[in-house]
Amino acid sequence: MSNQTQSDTAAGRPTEGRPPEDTNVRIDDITKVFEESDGGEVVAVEDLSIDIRKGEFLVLVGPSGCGKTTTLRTVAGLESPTEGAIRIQGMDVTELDPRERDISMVFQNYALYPHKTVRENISFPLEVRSFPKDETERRVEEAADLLGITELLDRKPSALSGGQQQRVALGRAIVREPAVFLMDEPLSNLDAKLRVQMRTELNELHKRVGKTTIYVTHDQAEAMTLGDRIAVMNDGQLQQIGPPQQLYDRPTNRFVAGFIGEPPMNFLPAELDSTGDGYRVRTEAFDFDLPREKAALLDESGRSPDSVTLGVRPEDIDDASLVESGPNRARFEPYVKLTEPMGSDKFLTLTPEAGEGQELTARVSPDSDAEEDETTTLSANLEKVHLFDDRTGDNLTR
Amino acid sequence: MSNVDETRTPGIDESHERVSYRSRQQFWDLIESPYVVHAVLAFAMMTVLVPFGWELITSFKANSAIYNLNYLPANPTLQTYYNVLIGEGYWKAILNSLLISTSTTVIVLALATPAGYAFSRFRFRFDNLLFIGVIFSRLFPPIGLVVPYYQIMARVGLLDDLLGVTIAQVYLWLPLMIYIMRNFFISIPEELDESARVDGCTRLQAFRKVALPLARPGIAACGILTFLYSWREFLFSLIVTSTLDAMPISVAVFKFVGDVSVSWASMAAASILAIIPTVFIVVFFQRYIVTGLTSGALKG
Amino acid sequence: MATDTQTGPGTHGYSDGLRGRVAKAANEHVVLTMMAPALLVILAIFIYPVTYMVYQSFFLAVPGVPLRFVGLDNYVEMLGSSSFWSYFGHTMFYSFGSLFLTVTGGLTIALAINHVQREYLRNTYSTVLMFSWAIPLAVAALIWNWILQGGEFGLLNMVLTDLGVLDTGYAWLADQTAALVVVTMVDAWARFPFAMIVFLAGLQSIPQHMYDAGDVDGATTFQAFRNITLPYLRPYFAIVGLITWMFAFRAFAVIYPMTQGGPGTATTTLSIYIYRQGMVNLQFGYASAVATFLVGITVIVAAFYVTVVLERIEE
Repeated sequence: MSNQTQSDTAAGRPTEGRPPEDTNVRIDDITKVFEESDGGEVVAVEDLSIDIRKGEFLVLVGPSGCGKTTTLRTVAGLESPTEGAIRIQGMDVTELDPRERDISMVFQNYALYPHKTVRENISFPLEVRSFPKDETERRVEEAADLLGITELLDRKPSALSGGQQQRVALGRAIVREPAVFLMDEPLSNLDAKLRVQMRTELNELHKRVGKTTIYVTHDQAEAMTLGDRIAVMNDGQLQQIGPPQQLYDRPTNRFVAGFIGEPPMNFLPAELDSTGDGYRVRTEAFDFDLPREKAALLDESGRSPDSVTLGVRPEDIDDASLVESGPNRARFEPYVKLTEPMGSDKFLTLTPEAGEGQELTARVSPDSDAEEDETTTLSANLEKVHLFDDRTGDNLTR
Repeated sequence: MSNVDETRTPGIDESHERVSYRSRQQFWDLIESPYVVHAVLAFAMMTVLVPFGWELITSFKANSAIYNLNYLPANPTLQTYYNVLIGEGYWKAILNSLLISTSTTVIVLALATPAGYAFSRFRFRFDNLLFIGVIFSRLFPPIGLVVPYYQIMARVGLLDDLLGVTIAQVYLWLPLMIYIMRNFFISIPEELDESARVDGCTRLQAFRKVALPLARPGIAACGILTFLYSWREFLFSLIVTSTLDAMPISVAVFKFVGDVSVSWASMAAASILAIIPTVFIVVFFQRYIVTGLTSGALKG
Repeated sequence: MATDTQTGPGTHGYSDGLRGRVAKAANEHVVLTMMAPALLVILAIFIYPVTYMVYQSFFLAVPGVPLRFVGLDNYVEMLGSSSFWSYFGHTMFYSFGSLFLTVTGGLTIALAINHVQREYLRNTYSTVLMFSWAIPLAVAALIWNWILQGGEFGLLNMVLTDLGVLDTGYAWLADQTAALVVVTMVDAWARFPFAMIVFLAGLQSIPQHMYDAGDVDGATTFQAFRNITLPYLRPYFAIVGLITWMFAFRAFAVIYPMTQGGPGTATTTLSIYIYRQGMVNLQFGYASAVATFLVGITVIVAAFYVTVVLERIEE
């Protein structure tokens, strides 16, 4: 009798005909504390607040144990926060069961029901909500078509490859047309090649479906390629949230700087001397005058300690003979410990002197003639360097 | 074999090593040889099959022919079976056994499955303590409860009553089956339940629609074990029953041991009748029994 | 209430606050719904009788006479009685004898089966060898009782006299010493398949590459057995050993049908003693005291078992 009502309401299409700005997810100052069996407590997430806009693809990224999965599970309703609230489309869902939230989720191991066929797996969310049969059928066909798994519909999950299982899991998530998709490391079980391919497909899928998505991963490359915005977490705390390029260009602290980018940023202990109208940075490998814009940022930060950590990305160092020298480039002559040709570029492992000093990675042009066990002349782009407070790790030149 | 030896021990004492390695290895190769292995197994099979065979042979003899010193019956007969089943009314004992074992199995499964699931999935107050309590009640020696059970059953009027025997059997096998069911549910990824809940199920629906169908092999193993265990049980059935009204076959066989003499052929026929279902279960459901037993013994 | 229209009043039309509480209550309710029936049944048909047993052990409880509190009298009488200690001795002989035979037999057979290459043969062996465990215990006892009959009629005596080993049949179960050994062996006969199954599971859990590595390192078969097989089987030994011993320590269903504790009291174990005191002499209080003693020992061993099993979880 109320099939129609149900499919309109509990079915998860409440966004239609409503202003877009209130269809979002608000993670409101949540803290999650786990009690251990020995009586101890572990703070998994601390005072986390994030607003996710409608249609946005937000990636939660961080090392394992950083609290990203706990956050996602809290949004899903599989964990309840110790403090704080979750709001979906303006409604407080903190105390609601997962089924009462307008969400669907893709799990790390796909969580396909082994005893059901692909068709039954995909239709399950509709079935438990008593959708009419023809509507269910139509939606399953649509989803299968969208994901290119129509010919697999009558197989069991065990007969599918990893990539196919992944698609079925996605199908089950989109069939309900919920307000929010949650994805918990959905690509981590695929081999490297398939992962890159599925990453592209996920991107396309998101463009076509356009649903708010919260995506958890530990892989920064995945985060960079997928996210409209990325939230970097560490030790249960939000480090920085912003568009990928912003995180790359202007990391808020040393953790984010080291986490985003591959190979990771080089960190060198450095001394900072004021020279009247600017700053001089001295490291084991090279000394240079801080470019004016960076110096201005440093002044703005109001902090200018004597010792800092210098951050230089490997890709901002190149063979001096292959780049034009300029005022904002510093030349130095390190010892080349190891060269790793990658085809498109060449990775150099460097030390200031032969066999001593802190190692440094450079990603230079493949045309560079740097040889192992020799010194070579390199040039660092000073406009892209960062200085971090030794004590707090804050980026002073952001 | 010898080729491998050449490259094997480049030590100082090479020649000595190799000789002693060879001679020791030869001895163990012999121990491991198919002849020895199959001889050991043949002997073991004999200790099992000869008593079974002798019981079977005896059951085809007439009670009066037992004391002829022949291995094989001169006139094989089914008369003893007829006497036992119809004459002595032992069809009732077999029916009792079937009723008791079946209802015990149904009750135990109905109780143990959800309880095992709850132990495998939920954290609640005293959960560990309760679980250790379950392990202890499973290891508890039933002989200790013989006297109180007899007294209680007498008081509530369930002596020599099928219900009384069934209650005792439920006590005997329920804790073990909770334990085994919990281990089976633990082997089903919790992610599947969570997925079901996100897909729109309540916790109870997630149990019913996802975990339960996946636990089918475990439920089968528990059911088969419970049936077998309660079919075999002797002590409580002996105490609670006194006549064929409620006595299962596992106790009834013992009735042929009289004060003065034993009707060996009748006892053999009754024994064979008691054995047939168990052998049938072992042959057809061996895999389930093995999973159930190992899971019951080993998992934490 | 306004927000309710978003998710649909059809499924849950209660306010935010109430909804929270109901949802939470439902979750706790789930544990209760699933757990309570089983736990109530265990409480009623296990905890209650156990309590009754311990309680009664402090009373003079015989039918027809009102209960009389006697404190520790039953225990004092039990511990001071020489027959109690002799039955305790029989129980120890029986349980450790059965333990030894079960573990060595079960392990030997498991190792042998593990060496059989063809799968159908392995299955046949393990299926047939489970028969002696699967049949009703009383039947196992009676089968052997018949084989071991004194005079010339028992199968064993028939064979032995035909082979000329014995002149006349020997009364195996009438001999004070032989009877206890025989019932112990029959107990192990009915018990070894359990050990065999668990050891087989243990042997199959050993990765083949361990033996490959041993081969490369030049280990003899025996060294491989000692350094790979045995360490892997160690937890299995502990568990099989503890379970076997506990179950043999309380065993009733083999001895009672075979000898009823006789000849004399030669095969009377604590279980038989409890049965005789409680069910034949109707000394309910005293029988409960002996039962409490037996239970106490089992609980100590069971605690070891729980530790071993819990250790396995952590591995």
